[in-house]
Amino acid sequence: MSVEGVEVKGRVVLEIKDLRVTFPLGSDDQPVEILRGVSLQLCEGGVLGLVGESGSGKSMLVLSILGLLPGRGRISKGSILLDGEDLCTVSAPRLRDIRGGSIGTIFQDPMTSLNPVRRIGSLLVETLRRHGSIDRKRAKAAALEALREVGVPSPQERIRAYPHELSGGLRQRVVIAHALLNEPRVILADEPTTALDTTTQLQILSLLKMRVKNASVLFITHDLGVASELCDDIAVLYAGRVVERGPTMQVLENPRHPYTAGLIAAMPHFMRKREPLKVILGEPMRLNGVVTGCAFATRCERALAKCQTEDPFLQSADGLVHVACWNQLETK
Amino acid sequence: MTVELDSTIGRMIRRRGAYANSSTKFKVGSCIGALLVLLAAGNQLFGSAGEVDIASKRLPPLTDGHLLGTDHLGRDLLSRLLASMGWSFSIALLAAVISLTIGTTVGVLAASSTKIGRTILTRYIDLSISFPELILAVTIIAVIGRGFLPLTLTLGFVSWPHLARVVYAQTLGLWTREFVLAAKLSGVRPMRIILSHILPGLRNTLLVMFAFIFADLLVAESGLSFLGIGALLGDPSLGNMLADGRRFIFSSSLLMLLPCIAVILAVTSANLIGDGLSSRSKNATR
Amino acid sequence: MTLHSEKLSPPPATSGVRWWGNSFVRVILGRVGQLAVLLWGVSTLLFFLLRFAGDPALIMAGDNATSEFVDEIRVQYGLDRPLFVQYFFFLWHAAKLDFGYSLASGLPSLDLVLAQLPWTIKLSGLAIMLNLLVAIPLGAWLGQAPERRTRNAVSSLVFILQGTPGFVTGLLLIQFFAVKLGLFPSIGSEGTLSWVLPTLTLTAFLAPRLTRVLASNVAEAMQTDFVRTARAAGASESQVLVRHALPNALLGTAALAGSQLSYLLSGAIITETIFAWPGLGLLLIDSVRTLDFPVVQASVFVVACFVFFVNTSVEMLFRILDPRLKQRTK
Repeated sequence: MSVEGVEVKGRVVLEIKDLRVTFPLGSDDQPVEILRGVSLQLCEGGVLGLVGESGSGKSMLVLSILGLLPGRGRISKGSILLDGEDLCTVSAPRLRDIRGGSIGTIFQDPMTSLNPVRRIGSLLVETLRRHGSIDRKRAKAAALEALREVGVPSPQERIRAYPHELSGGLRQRVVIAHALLNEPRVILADEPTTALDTTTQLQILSLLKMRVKNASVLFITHDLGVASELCDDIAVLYAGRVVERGPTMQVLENPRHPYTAGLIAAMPHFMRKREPLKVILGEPMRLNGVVTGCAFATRCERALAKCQTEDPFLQSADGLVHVACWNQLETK
Repeated sequence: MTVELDSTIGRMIRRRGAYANSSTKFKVGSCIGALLVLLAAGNQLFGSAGEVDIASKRLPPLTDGHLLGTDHLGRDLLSRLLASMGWSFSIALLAAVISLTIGTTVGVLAASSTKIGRTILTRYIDLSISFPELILAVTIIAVIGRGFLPLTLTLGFVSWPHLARVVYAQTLGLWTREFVLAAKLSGVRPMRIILSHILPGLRNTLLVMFAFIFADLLVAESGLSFLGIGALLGDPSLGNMLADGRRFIFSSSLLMLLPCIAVILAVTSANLIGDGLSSRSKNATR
Repeated sequence: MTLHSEKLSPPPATSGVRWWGNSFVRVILGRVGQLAVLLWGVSTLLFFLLRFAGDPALIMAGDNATSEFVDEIRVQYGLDRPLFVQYFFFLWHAAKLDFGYSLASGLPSLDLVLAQLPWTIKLSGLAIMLNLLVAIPLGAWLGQAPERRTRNAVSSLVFILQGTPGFVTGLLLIQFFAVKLGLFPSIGSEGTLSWVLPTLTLTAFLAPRLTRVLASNVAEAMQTDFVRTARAAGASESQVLVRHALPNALLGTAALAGSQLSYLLSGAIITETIFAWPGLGLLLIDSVRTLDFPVVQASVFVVACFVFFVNTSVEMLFRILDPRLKQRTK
């Protein structure tokens, strides 16, 4: 197996190979790479956590899987295989079938991701009927059932409600119900709990845990705690590139990339009350040109001369954890 | 309502598109506008308003040293056009200044006063907005008469409620901003806060509104004069020119087309400036 | 179960009947009060403007009247009494809808105004319908992808049209269709053909504004999270536009509706005068030119009522249509 390979638990459902996404953002509309060769594998029934700070390209990854890159963003290289079908090259109608069919998406902010002038029910029925030939009555029954399954109380009434009549938590439940409607094989969850308050966050997380048993989930978050709760594997994204990837426990307990270690050190931990939090110095990379060497080198305490000139690639010593770093931390 | 894509990247993408567009709009608008104003002002200073010379009436273009020919009274059409532009622009400009002054004062007062004052003023603004400006202007002019000064005052007086509403909304927003709250809590007097925080905060909005009001008032002035209830009969006004042109619509269409083009150019350039400025300031605050 | 422990918002819809009744009655009562204030304000303004203009008895008597005749009129109309008595006298008559007789024709001025009103309403109604028919599809199309080249060009055209005053459009239409081609009559209101140019003029006056506002609303809606949700759920671009972005954008134009009406009437005045259309606008302008004050007063009064009723009904309509407004009653 190549260095890009990953230890395979089940059948691979979604495979992203060397994905590069560019936007014409530089001077004179020079293309700037937002994703610089991302490779990921999502196994059947698995939950893969994608962690990174804002601007690292997490959400762009979701949008490129869906073929919904905004503006003049393009996938310049690489492939996205869903059950062997390349989403970069399928026809537009087929891609629309897949969106909301085989792939369900949960976006970040439930306050804005539901149309304020449409009733909850009409949205659910519309999505149901688009992907299956069922009549309005059966679709409505199915929508009710879907709301019940995500724990919306008195769904009979809620189905006629407008989004603004529901609380944030309830809305996110509706968003989840909407994403799960057509029993998708893959669920893309883009920071589904970030916009919620802490107690609601926990409820939504446990709901997700319960409800997504049959599907594979790509769970995007910047919260390592949440990721450790939910995910089987973790991939850490920095400046449009996966810098470390492996089973959750290994990565969190024994980070090898300095950036991952920094993220973990910056996490508040209630057992270590009096220690000040560690910060990663410097600013996140600016996306405005060609990167030579490791993108993290300027902020890295362990940077070598080599890091400034040569780009590290993902490699693995044990076949479990893959790291892209010239000067990895020691394994304990 | 903005999309939180990947926050940073998304913002970069949106801003670039909007900015390119707004800056072209502003540039094109101000180029045309500056050209028109320079021509009109130049004519005011060095040119003539066109002498009446019945003998050489309605000459075709390029005859007897008349670049665009003459009108029905034998006046040089080009100088007449430029003089009219100067006249109409001046009215619109002065009236816009009046409108801006009253509107800003009322809007800021409404937003800064007590609940009762606020209710009365906003109700007043709402009611005046619902009443057609032009009808009010026509009524007032019926009473105070036509001509430069009455027209300027009337137009200034009828057009401020719209501006007041915008200023009111914006000022309400500014009063809740942290830097204003901080000033308030540290005991700065309301009048001082208005002068040093609120008015500077309104600057962009006022500039944008000024461009739009100027455009509206230019249309109103030439419209009223065209109907014969704005400028006096001999006044050089784009509206008067249009009314004259209309009488000779069957014989010499240039008489009507020229002022038409002048009005369209002037209004569109003001709109362009306003649009450009508004999307530019929107981007800056985002 | 912990999952259900969220604080429930009040159940929607079903218990709404009582609430509806209350809010509607309250809104309408408030509106009637506002109308009263508006009419009082307009009447007062008219009264004092009129006094400001000069001695009404002199105006009414005409240029060559004897001083006895002027005095007679003064007594007849109560103009010899103190100003505030005259003011209440005037208000009392206005409340009885009595605005006196036209100085030009000697007919009751309110009757004159009401006779012309249907012409204005018909013309405006036609223009509004055409306006909606043009502006909604055009605005939706332009807003869907404003950066495309054709749409950019069309947008610029709409922009220039917006900067073209109504009377200029009217004149250009006359120049082309009536003078050059001789297709339609340039003035008057006889026959179906004579409706064409006034309607087009008024539409050209209204449509660019609505188109531009709608286009920018649609463009904004196309960028929202809920449109992204719809796309991620497999909606095609036309479904996204029609079912998700457009309803939102249309309701967003509600704020425009009120000013659009006063804009329409301003446009109607000019259009009617250009085309000698026997509507309220023409009457108003004529009476202003001839200083026929009773007719001016009656026209302004009727316009105020008309604007008010249309604005209120439009607001009610949007209140019913927009779920967000339904909940936020003052």
